Amino acid sequence: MKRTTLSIILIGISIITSCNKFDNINIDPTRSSNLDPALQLTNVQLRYSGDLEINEKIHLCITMPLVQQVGGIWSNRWGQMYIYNRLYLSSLWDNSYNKDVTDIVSAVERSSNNPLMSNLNAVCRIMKVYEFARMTDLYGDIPYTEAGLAYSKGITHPKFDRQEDIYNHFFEELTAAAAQLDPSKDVVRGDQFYNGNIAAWKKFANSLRLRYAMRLVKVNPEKAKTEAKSAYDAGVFTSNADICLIHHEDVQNSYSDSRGNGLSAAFVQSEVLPRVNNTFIEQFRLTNDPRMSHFFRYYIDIINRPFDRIDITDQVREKIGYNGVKPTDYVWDEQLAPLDITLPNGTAIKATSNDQKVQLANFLIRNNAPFFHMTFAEVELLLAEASIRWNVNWGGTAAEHYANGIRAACEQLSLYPTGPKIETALINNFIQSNRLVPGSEIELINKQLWIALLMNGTEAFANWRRTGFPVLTPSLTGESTTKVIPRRLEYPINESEQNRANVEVAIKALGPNGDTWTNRVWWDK
Amino acid sequence: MKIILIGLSYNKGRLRTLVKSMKPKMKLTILLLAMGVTHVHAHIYAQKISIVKKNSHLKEIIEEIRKQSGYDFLYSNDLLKGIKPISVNISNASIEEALSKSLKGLPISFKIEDGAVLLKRKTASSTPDVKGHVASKKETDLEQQQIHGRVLDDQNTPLESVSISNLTNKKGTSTDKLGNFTIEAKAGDVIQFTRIGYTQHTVTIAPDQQQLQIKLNVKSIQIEETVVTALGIRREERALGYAVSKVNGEELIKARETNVINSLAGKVPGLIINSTAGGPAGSSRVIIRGNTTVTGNNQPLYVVDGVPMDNSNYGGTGSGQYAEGFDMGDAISAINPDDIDQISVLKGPSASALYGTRAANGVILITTKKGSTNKALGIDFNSTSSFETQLTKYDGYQRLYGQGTKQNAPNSPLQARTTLFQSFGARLDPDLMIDSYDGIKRPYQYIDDNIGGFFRTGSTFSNNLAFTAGNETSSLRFSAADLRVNDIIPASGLRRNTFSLNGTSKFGSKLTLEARSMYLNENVKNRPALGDSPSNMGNAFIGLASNVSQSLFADTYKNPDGSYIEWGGGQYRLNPYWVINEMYNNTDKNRLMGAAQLNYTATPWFNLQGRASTDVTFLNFEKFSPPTTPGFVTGGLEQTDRKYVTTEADVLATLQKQVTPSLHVSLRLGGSISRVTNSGNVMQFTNMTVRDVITPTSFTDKNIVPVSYARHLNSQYGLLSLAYKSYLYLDASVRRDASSTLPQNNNSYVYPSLVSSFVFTDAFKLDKQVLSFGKLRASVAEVGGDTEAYLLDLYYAINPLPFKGQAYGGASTDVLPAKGLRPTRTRSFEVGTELKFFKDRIGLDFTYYNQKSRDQINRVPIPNSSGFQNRMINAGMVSNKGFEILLTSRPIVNENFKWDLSLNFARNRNMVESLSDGVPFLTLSDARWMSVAVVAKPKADYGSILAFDYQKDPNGNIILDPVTLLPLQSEERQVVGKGIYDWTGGVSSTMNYKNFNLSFIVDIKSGADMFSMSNLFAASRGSLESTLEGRSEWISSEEERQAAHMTIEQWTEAGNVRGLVPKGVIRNIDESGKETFTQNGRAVDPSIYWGQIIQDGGVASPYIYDASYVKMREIMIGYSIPSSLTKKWGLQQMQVSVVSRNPFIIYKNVPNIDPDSNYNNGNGQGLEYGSLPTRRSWGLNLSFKF
Repeated sequence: MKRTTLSIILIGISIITSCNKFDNINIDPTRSSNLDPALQLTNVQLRYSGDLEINEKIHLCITMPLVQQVGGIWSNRWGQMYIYNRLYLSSLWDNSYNKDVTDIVSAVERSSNNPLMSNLNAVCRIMKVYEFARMTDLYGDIPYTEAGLAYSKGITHPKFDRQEDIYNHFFEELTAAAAQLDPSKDVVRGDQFYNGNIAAWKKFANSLRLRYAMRLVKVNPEKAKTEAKSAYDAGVFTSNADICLIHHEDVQNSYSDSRGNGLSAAFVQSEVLPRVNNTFIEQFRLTNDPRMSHFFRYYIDIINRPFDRIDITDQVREKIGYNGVKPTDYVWDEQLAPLDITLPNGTAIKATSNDQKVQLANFLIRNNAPFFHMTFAEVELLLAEASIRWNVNWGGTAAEHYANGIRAACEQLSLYPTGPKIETALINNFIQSNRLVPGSEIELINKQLWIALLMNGTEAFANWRRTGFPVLTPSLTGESTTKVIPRRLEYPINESEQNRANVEVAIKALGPNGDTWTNRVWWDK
Repeated sequence: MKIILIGLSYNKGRLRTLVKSMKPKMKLTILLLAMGVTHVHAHIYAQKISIVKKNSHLKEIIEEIRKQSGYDFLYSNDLLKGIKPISVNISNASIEEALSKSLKGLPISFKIEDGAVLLKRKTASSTPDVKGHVASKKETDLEQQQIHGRVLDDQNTPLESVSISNLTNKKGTSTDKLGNFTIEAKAGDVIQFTRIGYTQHTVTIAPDQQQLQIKLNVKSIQIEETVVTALGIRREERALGYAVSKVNGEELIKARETNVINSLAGKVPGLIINSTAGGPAGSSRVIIRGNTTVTGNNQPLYVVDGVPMDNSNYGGTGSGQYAEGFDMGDAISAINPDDIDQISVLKGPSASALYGTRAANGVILITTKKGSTNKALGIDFNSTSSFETQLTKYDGYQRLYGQGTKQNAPNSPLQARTTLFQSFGARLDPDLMIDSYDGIKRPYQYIDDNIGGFFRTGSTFSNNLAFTAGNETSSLRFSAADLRVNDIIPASGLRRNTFSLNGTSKFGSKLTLEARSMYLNENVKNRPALGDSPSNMGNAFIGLASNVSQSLFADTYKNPDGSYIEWGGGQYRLNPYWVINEMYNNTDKNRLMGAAQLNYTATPWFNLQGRASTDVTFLNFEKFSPPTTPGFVTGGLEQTDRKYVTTEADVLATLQKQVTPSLHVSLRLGGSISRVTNSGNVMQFTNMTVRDVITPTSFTDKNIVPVSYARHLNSQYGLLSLAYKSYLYLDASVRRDASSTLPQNNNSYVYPSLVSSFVFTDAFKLDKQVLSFGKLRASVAEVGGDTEAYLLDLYYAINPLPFKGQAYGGASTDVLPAKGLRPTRTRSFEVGTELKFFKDRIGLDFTYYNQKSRDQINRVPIPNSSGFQNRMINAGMVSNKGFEILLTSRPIVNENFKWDLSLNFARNRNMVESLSDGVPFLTLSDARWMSVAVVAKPKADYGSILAFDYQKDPNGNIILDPVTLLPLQSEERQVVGKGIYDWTGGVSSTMNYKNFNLSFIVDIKSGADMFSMSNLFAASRGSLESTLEGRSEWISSEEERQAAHMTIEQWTEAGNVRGLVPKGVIRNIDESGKETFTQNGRAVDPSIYWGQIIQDGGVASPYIYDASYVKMREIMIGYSIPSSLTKKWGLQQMQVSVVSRNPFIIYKNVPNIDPDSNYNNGNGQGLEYGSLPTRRSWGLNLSFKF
């Protein structure tokens, strides 16, 4: 009896206590432990222009209204009237460091020193520069060399790098990555920009280098010139076929979907869509720009069915011309008398006050609108500026580059689904009648860049800060929380609280004005 | 033979026949046996008797018993002659108990027959009061010899079937019908006498002993209160060295809660229960003695009949800034209150150390009802119907101004739509007709209880039927429950059916099998969306202009083609009528629980027990948003299919021995395994192309995310219990756990506990006149803890929707995995005392505890720039210190009236002692507005509310922005409050007057704060009374200005502006750089001022309220139909009651909403946004037993 019971206990306990080993119980069967870096590249490329949260905040809420391209609705007020909103200023940082940075840093790391991923690695390195450039241009000094390394290197509190150092590293990286690209090596899969075209990536790397070189014209003209020259020599975009863009799917993104164009989703999810700023319209009117009637349209909106809106451009334009919103106005501020118009189907209606304020045309804000990362037009206009600044001839005179830039900018619109194909004669005519005027070349060039960079608010904002053109009058209202036009984004509250020691160093470097959105980044000094 | 008779004791006719056929002496024996053993049943079924009399004649007492019991008494008149006056103190006793107590020491015996009590003189006894030597042999003989003896009860009646075992030589026997026995023993052997219903007796054989006469005392009369403790071990309360609170099942079934755990609110000291605004189908947050982990789960472990139960929270709203979603309910709500016999709350690690890891936050032990060994079929029926209305109303809204901005009423349908949530219009005037958004003009008048009008009167119907049956070897209980709830939220409701079957059977004398099964089927229609969800109905109407009736939107929410009509709430606030009429969500839950327990009593001192249980829940959730729903313009269908499986098994060996007459030792050794595996799919379908059927194939975009969770735990444990003379008890336990969630080289951990109890009144044999019982207890314990699954490695996830057919993905978490996690530890120390005064009329239970959880496995924020938002790390310490007091009293007991009053009080200080180096604080929950967060911050209370406060000048005046005159924000976020309570308490009272009883429970909570974003929003929209200041002045000022044809600048220049003059000072810096402050005297337009308060940069402090409250939790008025009537109807018992849960709030400080409101059950409590009103219920309960 005793023996039996004892053995029952022993058997029972031994079954239960057998071991501390649980084999694979603690490994999630539904997720990957070693994802192909190419899939991360796709993710980062897609989210750059697809993530609704980031694109809504940085473009629609802040930079596009700041450069006075659009405005008039609540979502625009932060940038349009300079109303401070720390959360919006934090959005890019808080939503890309722990996602896009993590992925692109991991993709670069996990593809390096692997001969089968040599080209993929080079592409990821370029993508990494591109990703960080958007952030440093907006925030200034940021964690760069130590960013996104918590898992692989255990760095949980990255130091901030000086923007100057970051830029120097950009030039090195772009040079090295372009050199690493080799058509005889691995085929890059997952690439949504160029579908693995190695030659195109080389040109993109060099063109980016040109863009970042020109960023330095205020702070270090010598360096700007050297880098721009070597970028040009290495081979930049030579036609619209080289443009770096991504074609989105025709999906209206939610905050968790990146397949459609994120900026489009931000536009069309508003009950009242953004209007065009009169400052922007004025530029088109003064130059008699042939793109005007394609960009600016009058619509009768249908709530929640943005693309069913009724185009009444012809009827309204004939009575009041092109009218957007004043830089200081909301769309509902200036109440216009109702206009009697007749719709194409013969119905007579009254166009309300809102209906008489122009909006961006459907093609620009469709869910499947491509996002232009870098265009041939931009390259040409930058080259035009370089020619003027340094009196150089890199493949053409300033006037030639300028003309090429305008032409490319007009022609690139046909790359939008349902986008206009502007007649060559009209373009020629436009170029002819808007030649560079001595003494104001840089202004004219950058006003064209302002137009060419429509729908890429952060780049337009960077270019305005770099050159001071177009000259913008601060649009101050009673709601404005600052009297000058903001020029950078503030560090997020999370970062300043959790990475205090490192943030303090960066804030100190910002000088007496500290971490404010009216302070300036290094290259904007 | 005996047991059969016991079983028959209620079948009185047959008993009588049987009894009649026996010899008189035997009859009495049998009856007395029946009384003693059936005590427990009598306890449940019989009328309770309470008598307190001093120096009264026995006749008076008998008369009293007659009145209260309804039994007739038969006795000869000379029986009571010569009986001296006696004192009795009987409370809540059965007739048998009452008689035994009253007749104790008197030469009178009683028997109960056919509803009557027979009293007769005891036959003289010649047996000496024995437990020792009767006869002896001359010489010492250590040889085994036959010892003969006899066992009698305290009435000197021979006892049959007493089991007798020689603990030394392991021989055993039992008494015959005449109480005689023979057993082999030698000098020094210990003989143990055991019989059900009698106290166990042990004798050591003396050297020359040959005969024994043993007297066993009836146990029932002095039966000790027992409680169920860890592992299902039932123990005498006096032996416990830690605080255990128990609640009887009876208390839960009249005034009912759809989630039974909510019934405990206010009843148990230190137990804090919050239910979300999720309503009847929502989950509850239960906290015992504070939060022990910073970011982990702080909910207690639920154990049903000794087996841990799955208590998955099926999903909530999250804790982020834009947290939204549904409260999917919790697992404990599946337990049918009618199946509960008792709930024990084990509060600290000392009590729960044997349950290990999952018990660090305390254990709630549920013992279910069992079948009785009563052969007759027993039927219980219990039914409650109640009606629910809103407990809180939006009653702090201003009634003077209507829709509009800048003091103007809207003058077009468009303006009516854009100012829908603006009450900054003109003064309300019922004669004024103004435009509505649909183009119709309506009166500009205040609408009373506007938001309240949206809700309906809810109703709840609960019906339960239970059958019990049994015989001497088996018993069975089956119950079926049906619960139907129509919530106060239109179109929202719940239907729950529970079936449970509980059986016990004895196979022979050594093997007992107990099996239990439960099946639950629950369907919830339209759970309300919470938090920042666009379909949160609690949010949708907040700030609705005071003259716009919510009912206006009932008929105007959709176009003739069925598409959504924009009502003015935009994408983030959907028209609630669209939500309830066009959208839907549906939850189906099927749950099966099964458990089996096998007990093998090999010998009286050795018992082996094996248990196994499984608990499977299938949860299917579906949510549909038709096309044109803002946010789901193309239509959306969300489906979640999940399966939760918990399997538990354990073995427990118990060895016990009465080592010496005064020392009892027991040793329990056991081991258990726990396997939790959850799996499922979360599916989203968008772009609805087929409209007439709502099914995944009607959608073109399909997005499926599989989810998985697995956690295994292997444990071993031992418990050594020593009991010395039934007044000193010592328990020592040790447990070792191995968890699958920790790194393999560091996944096991061992922790001990030491618990002691000392009944000093017995030890020192103190006079019991004043202090009738006194006990001291002390314990120290440690519990180790693991973490969640899958936190050790980095994973990548593929995006559920491919891009142009191509897969893509990335790192799937923002939590940095930690490879080197160690187990976390909670150590506690507890002392307490339990005192009873004046023969138990007053009882006091006091506990002080101090517990520290160290090596916390925390989710610690790291800068986003690291690539992650958080990391898992062993760091930090959380402490909980406090005391708990339970005061029970019976202020009045007399013939007709009895009053029980109990008070409880608990103070807990929950502090974050430290966090990881360099972590200034940890966010537990982020508010939607104004950067307010609930955090864990070192050296601050757990759950501190962090917000921007006022900037103040050296004199403490609020500094205002020189332009807007809004208060300036402090430089950094500061601790402005905390989300957890300082102390909690409760008062519960039960009064019985004849057949009536009245009881109530008051729940008191004090010291927490709450950021009410509903009130903030209402203020910014001009709905709150606080926004009235300066409005009429501004209007007249503007009228005068216009009359004077002056611009606002000129008017300001002239110093004529009147309006809202914000209180505070303006900072000036003079030329020398010196700071001065001047009082503000300037007026602003109130509509502009209030509109700006909610913006980033605003000061949250005015909307952080003291969340203390005093609530009437429950009121019950019952009437028991007299037994004379119920007998006629063939019922054993019948009771009707008027019941109410949450009838009213006695005190609160937060306007418009219930201070209990929240939108998730996470650790970050203290935030409220768009909470739905809580419910009050009134109803009728009917219960009867056959």
